[in-house]
Amino acid sequence: MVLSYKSGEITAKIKGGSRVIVRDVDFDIEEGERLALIGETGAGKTMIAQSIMRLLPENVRQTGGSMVFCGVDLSDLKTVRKILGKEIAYIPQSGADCLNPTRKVKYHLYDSLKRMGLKGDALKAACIDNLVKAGFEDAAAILNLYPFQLSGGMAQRVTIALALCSHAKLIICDEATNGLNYVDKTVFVKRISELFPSAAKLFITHDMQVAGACDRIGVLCSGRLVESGEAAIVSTAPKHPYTQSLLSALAKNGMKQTPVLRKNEGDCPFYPRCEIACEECKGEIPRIEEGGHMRRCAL
Amino acid sequence: MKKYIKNIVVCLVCFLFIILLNFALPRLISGDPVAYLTGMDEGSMSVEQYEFYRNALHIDENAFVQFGYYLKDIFAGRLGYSFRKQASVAELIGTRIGATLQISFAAVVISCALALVWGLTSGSKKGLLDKVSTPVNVLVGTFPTFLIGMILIIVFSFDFKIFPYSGLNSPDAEGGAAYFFDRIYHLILPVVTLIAVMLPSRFLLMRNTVRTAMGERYVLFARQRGLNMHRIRYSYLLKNVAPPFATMVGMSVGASIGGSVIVENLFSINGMGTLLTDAVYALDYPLLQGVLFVSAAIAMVSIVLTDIICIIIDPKARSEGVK
Amino acid sequence: MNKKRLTALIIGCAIIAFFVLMAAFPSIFTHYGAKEMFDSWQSPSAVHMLGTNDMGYDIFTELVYGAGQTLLISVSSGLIAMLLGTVIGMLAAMNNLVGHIFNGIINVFMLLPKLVCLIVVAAFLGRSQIATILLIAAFGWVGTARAVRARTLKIANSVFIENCVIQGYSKLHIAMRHVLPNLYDVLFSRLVSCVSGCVMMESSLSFLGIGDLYNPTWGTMINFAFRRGAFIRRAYNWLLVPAVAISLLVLAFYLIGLAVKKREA
Repeated sequence: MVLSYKSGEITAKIKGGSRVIVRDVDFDIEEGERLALIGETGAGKTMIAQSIMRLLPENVRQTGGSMVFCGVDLSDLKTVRKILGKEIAYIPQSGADCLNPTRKVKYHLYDSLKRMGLKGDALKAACIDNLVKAGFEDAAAILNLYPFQLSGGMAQRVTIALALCSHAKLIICDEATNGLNYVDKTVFVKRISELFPSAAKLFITHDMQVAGACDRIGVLCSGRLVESGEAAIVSTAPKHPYTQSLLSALAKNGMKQTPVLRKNEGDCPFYPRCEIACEECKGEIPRIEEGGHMRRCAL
Repeated sequence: MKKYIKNIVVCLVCFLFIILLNFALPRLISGDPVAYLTGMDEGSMSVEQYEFYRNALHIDENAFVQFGYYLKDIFAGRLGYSFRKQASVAELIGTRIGATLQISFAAVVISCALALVWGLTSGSKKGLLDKVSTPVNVLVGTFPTFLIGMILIIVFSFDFKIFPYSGLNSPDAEGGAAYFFDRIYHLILPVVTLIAVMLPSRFLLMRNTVRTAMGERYVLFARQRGLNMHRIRYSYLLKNVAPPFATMVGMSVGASIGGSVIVENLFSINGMGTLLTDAVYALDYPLLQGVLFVSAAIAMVSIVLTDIICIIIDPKARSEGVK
Repeated sequence: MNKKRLTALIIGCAIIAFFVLMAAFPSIFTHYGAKEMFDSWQSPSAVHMLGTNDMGYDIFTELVYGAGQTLLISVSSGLIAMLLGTVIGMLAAMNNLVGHIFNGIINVFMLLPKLVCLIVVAAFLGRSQIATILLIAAFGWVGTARAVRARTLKIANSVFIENCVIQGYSKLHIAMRHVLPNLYDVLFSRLVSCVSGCVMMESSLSFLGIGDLYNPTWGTMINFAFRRGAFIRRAYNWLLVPAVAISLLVLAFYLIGLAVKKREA
């Protein structure tokens, strides 16, 4: 078990009060397994990723959760700082923004490799090696470029190379396929799987195609986990009304919210927009588990 | 690149403005231009002297011709002649400018370096340091220069008798190393005063720039890769904060010359600043204009230099962003 | 308004109110005349709260009358500088040659070595109060102009200005009726820094002995103290008190600005 995650409650303090962003999202990821977390923009997916890395923004607090990574409790900040970059790697959405604009690509790689304890010639060799693995043909030329000289795709391959620097047991890809076309998206998932075969992989996405290419899928609605199970089942024949409406909406570039049908009442996050909601949905929502598949629905 | 070129052009225009101002002031203000330009009034000169100066200064010719002679003088290095002190302005400034530069440059270098490190550390951490530093700097920023100087003199010169309060050297200092250390000894309080005046605004500028930069994506990503704060500060933030920092240093020189005027007066140091105030009392106009010219020149040169440094260190400016 | 801001506002206003009272009704604070002569170099006592200076004038009385002078010069130059800065700032935001020229003027003035210029031009213009006020204003408008220009550019891009242009309003009308009212928060926060900047400039100038020497401002008082041997005699009452008063004034303006500043959205 690489990561055992229980979110507890993640709350953000905003002007005029606080808002619960994520509640009771629990999942486990095994070695080599690919888990996709899918949900609309604003469902709290990035918050979950940040909470694993203990890098939540200033005004966000996490209470009541527990995160265990390879037997190590992630509640101690010092331990997490030691692990980040070595055993947990992160691939961001937009590579170009995330790279230091005043430093060449090679310095970024050096920084990450130095963290792993490499020096001298071994360092330089590993640098080129990782760039090649990430898909660059002319690695030596890329080394001396500045981030603003890279295209979007190149920048993303640099972030992949940076992730390769570590011996990561957990890879978190945060909406890393935005901006790629359809074919590239599934290719991306495959490439990550090839490059990090034994690592647990968490793919955060709002795209069902990407989610479908993984092993398991967790569906987030307004910060609550409403369905989770095998990717094949969830992406083709989902059992929760929310996931079903996700599928039926044309999920190409981010998804617009389906229209609000009624006022928000009770515990179910999809209640205002669910087409088949009924009276029972206003009360406590049961958690139904059957054979590796979980859903939270009263119907 | 364009941004910096524009800056340099503005600098040159500014300098031109000063030259024009120097030219126009004595001739446009009500009063006799001859009096302004020689520093003596009509009553104290004989008629022949007056006519002589009138001719020599080309007062009767039209403005363009006068300006032509004026420019010629400047390019030849002739900044005018101070009749009160019976010496050429260039000579007078030359003997005194050393002291001013010693104080100003030392203050600029130290205050900017301090502001950089302090601001960088304070802006990138959210701890006690920042909570204390920021209000302290704001408070000290409200103190006028002379207040800080006077307090320092009172505390260190009078009460504790550690540092001297006037002049640049003791009368009995011998040459060589002893003289050098004696000079440093005398320079400490004036320079510290000027640092205390300039540091708060530089610190606040650095701190706010760093604070904003901390919110950028690449800082977050660096932390996500597990890099430690020290590396983030000095390898990542520093390089990104460097251009505004360099610009700040360039602008500081101009401000430090102004501050030096007050400090020199306070500590009775014979520098360009006291030359300026003496000239004001004596209404020695040519000297005044000369000092203005030199001060502006120093300020402009430092701004242009720092802009050139910015062009060198900013990778975007150099390559124009072509893949 | 939360407690911290309220305290800042109250303290700031109290200080300024105190000084304004001093300026407007000096007779409340002191019965002595500003030029009434007593024994010189007295230390602070019950009779002379701050002692007397070398000419025998009561220092506290000088301080009280000096308040009026200081405030008069600083505030008037501050207001003129604000006006100048607003006009130039709005002009510099225009998208044509005029805008470029004024923007250039702003940048040029920003680079000038301010104090030295002030001193030199002051020497030419003489020692009258009006000259000093105009001079300080002539160098103090730069910060305001930059802020006004930045805000005007932002406003100019908003939809309702587009609408005004479509409706065919003249540029002057748009500027006065639509842009200007939206500048008020910028103007108010700049008012504070502008006036305190003018206070600093005025005090530097008068410390150096430039300005009206017969009606001394606080800075002039310090100049006299310094030149007439207060240091040697350790007459800190004469030397330091006006300087602290200047500091308090600047601090008061800063506190008010802090209290009123809109939280960044």
